[in-house]
Amino acid sequence: MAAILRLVLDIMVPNNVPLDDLTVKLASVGGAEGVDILVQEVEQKVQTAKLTIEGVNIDFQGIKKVLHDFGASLQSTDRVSAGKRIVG
Amino acid sequence: MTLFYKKIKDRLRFYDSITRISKILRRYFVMNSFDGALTIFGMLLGSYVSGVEDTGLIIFIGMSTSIAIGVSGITSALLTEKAEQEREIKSMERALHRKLHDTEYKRAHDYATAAAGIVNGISPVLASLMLLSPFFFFEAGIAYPAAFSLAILVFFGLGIFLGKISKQNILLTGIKLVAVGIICMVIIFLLGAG
Repeated sequence: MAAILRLVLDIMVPNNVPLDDLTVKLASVGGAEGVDILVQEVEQKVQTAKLTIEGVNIDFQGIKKVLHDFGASLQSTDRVSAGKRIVG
Repeated sequence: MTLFYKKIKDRLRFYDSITRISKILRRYFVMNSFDGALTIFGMLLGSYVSGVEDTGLIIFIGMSTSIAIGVSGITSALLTEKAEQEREIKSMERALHRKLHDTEYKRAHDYATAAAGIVNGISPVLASLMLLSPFFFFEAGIAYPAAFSLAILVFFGLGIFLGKISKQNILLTGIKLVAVGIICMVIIFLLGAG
């Protein structure tokens, strides 16, 4: 099966979860080489953010598990790149 | 071993950044240590005014009182903090449209509840044992003045800690707590004289 090279996810995170801890934990998931979290909207208790992960053979289940553990919820999978190289 | 401690430290720092429990724990510590110390201080003053000189009896009554304060501290904190943390979890679950059980996020709140119970229970016991300690080693004639001096020191120390937390004049907050102890002492002596 072709490897996932990039994931762009729309997530919702509790405001009191430190984003640096979440980012570092996501970066430790198998295959992830770079992680970026861009906050898009801050509400009273939660914030929505765009999560981008690049790497080689990214463990999507592992990413979901970290998000689950940190109390974040996956709103949508906006972009997935797989194969030998990133296209577009 | 250092890696183990670092892991625990990181985990607790993470839990604290979610729950902000350390600020609450500091307040609980001062409040309940003062509570425990003042209760035993009152008990010792009462014994002194009544002329009780049996150190074994004083230790037994003091220990019983401090156990009761400790149990009360643990149960009250566990009940109130558990209710507070569960309310927070439920409100977050509504905002996120998902359940949070079996997550680090939930464990952070469980830790907050447990830590509040431990601090609330142990701090008054430690403070009261400190005041009782002279009775383990000396006769009543020496133990009473030693315990009263220790009480003033504990009140002053807690006042300094309170001043540091609130970034106020530490000397002033220290004197304030000592003054509360002295007011307590005067009232008990007046009751004894009456």
